[in-house]
Amino acid sequence: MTQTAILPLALKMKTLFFIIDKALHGNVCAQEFLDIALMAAAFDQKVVLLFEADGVNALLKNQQAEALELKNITPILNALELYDIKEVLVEKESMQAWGLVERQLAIAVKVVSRCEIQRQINLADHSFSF
Amino acid sequence: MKISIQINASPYQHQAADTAWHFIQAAMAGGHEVYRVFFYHDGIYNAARDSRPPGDERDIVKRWSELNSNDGVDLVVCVSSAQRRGLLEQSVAKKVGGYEKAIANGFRIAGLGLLMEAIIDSDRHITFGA
Amino acid sequence: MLYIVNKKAEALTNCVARASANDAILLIENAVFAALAIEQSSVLASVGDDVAVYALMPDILARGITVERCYEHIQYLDYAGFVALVEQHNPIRSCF
Repeated sequence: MTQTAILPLALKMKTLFFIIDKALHGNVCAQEFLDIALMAAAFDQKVVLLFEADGVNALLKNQQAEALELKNITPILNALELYDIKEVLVEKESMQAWGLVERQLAIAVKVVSRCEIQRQINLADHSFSF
Repeated sequence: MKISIQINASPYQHQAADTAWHFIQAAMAGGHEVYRVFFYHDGIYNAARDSRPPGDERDIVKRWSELNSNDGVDLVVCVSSAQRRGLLEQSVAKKVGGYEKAIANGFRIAGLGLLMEAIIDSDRHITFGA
Repeated sequence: MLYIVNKKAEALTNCVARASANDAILLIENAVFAALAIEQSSVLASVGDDVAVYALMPDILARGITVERCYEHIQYLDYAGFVALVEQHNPIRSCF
């Protein structure tokens, strides 16, 4: 039987960075990782999703994961705003390294320089990766 | 300092469980509070009740149980990660009214809410993984 | 920020590319092999002076690595030092 936490009525709001720097396909860890981000948003935390390095490919349009009976991540990306996750950052240098432009991505994102991202992460409370 | 630990990797397959345990020992020796250890992804296997390593090897599951019984550290296994990986025995849950009998002593089963509580209340959150 | 890196190759390369002034990098587990000053493992040679690089000594010793073979700028910590590093830096990013 699952246990639920008894939390104070006023939750502290922390800034949490969830960093995706590797491929998400074929790995349940990716899906479970996003579950934490979604739960954090449901707990009124400020969630920032950051895609960098190989992780930028998770944002590509027209993924056909169903052919392999794998879970398609695009519907989750499309639902991020519904979950109150408004900050989706993509590292500019990673986009360039992978030869990608914004119109190739499935959702609207903020393309931000590495330097600016590091500045923002240093102000965050916690950082998560998998 | 209140420190929360997340363990994402299974024992023996990766060094994560060892590094985390040694870190926790040092943190407690340094007077810090280890708020919670949350086992996620394959980390749930650290609670495998029937783990039997060879007699001359460290017993990782038992080490965790002792961390709870001797030092009172809260060890939480994520229910959804555990269910997906077949750690929880359904028949046990139905007969004895709880999943705790299906896992090693000293661990408890809960959802991501307890990870959220740990994240919100801790000064530091560290992930050990593969 | 504290980067905790547990393997060489991409995890470490990505971390070194992003570490900025006053950040710290801690090598643990198999990442300690990157401390060796050899040609095939030169990513740590390019770390800026303003980024401190640490290696977890128990992992160095476990693997039979000797400090003389490592880059001079590496600093060595035991687990108590690891805890101190966590006290001094936030957030903490684990790189896998």
